[in-house]
Amino acid sequence: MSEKFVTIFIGLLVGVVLALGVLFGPGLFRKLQNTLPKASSITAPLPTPNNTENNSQSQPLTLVLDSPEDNSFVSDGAVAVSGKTKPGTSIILFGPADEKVATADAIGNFSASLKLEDGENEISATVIDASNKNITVTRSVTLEIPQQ
Amino acid sequence: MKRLLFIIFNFLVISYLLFFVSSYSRAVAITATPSATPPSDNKKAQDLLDRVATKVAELAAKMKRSYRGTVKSVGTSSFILTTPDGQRTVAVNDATVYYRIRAGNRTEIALKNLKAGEDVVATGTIDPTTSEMTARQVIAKIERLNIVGVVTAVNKTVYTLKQNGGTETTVDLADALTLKKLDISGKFLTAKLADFKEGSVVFVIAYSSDTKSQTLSSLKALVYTSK
Repeated sequence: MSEKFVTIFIGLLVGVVLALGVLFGPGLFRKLQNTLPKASSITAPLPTPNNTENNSQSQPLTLVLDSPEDNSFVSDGAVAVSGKTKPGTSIILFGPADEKVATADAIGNFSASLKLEDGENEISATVIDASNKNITVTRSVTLEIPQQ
Repeated sequence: MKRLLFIIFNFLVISYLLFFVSSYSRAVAITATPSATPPSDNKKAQDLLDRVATKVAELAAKMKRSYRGTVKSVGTSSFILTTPDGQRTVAVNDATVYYRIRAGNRTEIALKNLKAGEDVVATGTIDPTTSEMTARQVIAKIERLNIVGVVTAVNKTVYTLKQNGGTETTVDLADALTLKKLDISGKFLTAKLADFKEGSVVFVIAYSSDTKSQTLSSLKALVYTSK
């Protein structure tokens, strides 16, 4: 009689364990995977300021202007010039009514405001390397004359 | 043998029961709020609306443009401009205003005062299908070029600048109203013509004062000194 109870108990226990494993096993496995550090984060550490500097030195000179768009017009006396280049690079902004130097931040973004004169203004953004090699991007922006 | 069969039987019964309980609880969770919109769906709908609004604003901004070029001909309700991208028709109406800027002074003019060959910029709204502009403002002003290049030759006050792409332009810096130099620390200082040396990068705002001459006149010039 007691053997029958022991057999029933073992059967129930095994059944519960296996059923729980089948039902909740995949979820637990996924959770366990998320808590473990990923292979990429072990082999490739996040960039530190020093790494960024080293990377920026090896990067070729680039310049992309996001704003202003070519052949655009504004009604204020100035235009916002923004874009992306090599981190830490100085960008020379030059136009008929103003000139400025902007500096790109750690990820290469820069922005500055440039005064305009009435009518069409051809403005340029230039980056220059140590050997005077330069990249220049020009945009035409018109300053509308305020209506009286 | 009986024991083994008994264990397998119990296992199957328990597995079935647990599976049934689990499926039932999931079904209850899913059907508990059938009519309520999940928050993630609301966010997706809002994102879609925001994207549509941004696209509409971008399209409207793209239609507001300027055309710059040389006047080819002037009619009664429009004029034709020769632009770097080809000929463009600029329609005008009663609301269009016209200005002429000469030597820094601006005067209001009329459509009839525009002359063929004159440098003009028109601002307004462009019809995307025909590229025709309806202008709200037309400004006649001598085109000013922004030239950036490395000095390759100097002949008295005439400088040859080699631009990116290899184009060489000659500019006379004698008439420049302002001469500046930019040092490596980023400071703008007053400059002399002697600071504009071969090999340096020079920025010039120039214009063509004489169509026969290849040399441009200058309004302002800046030299970058890396040493």
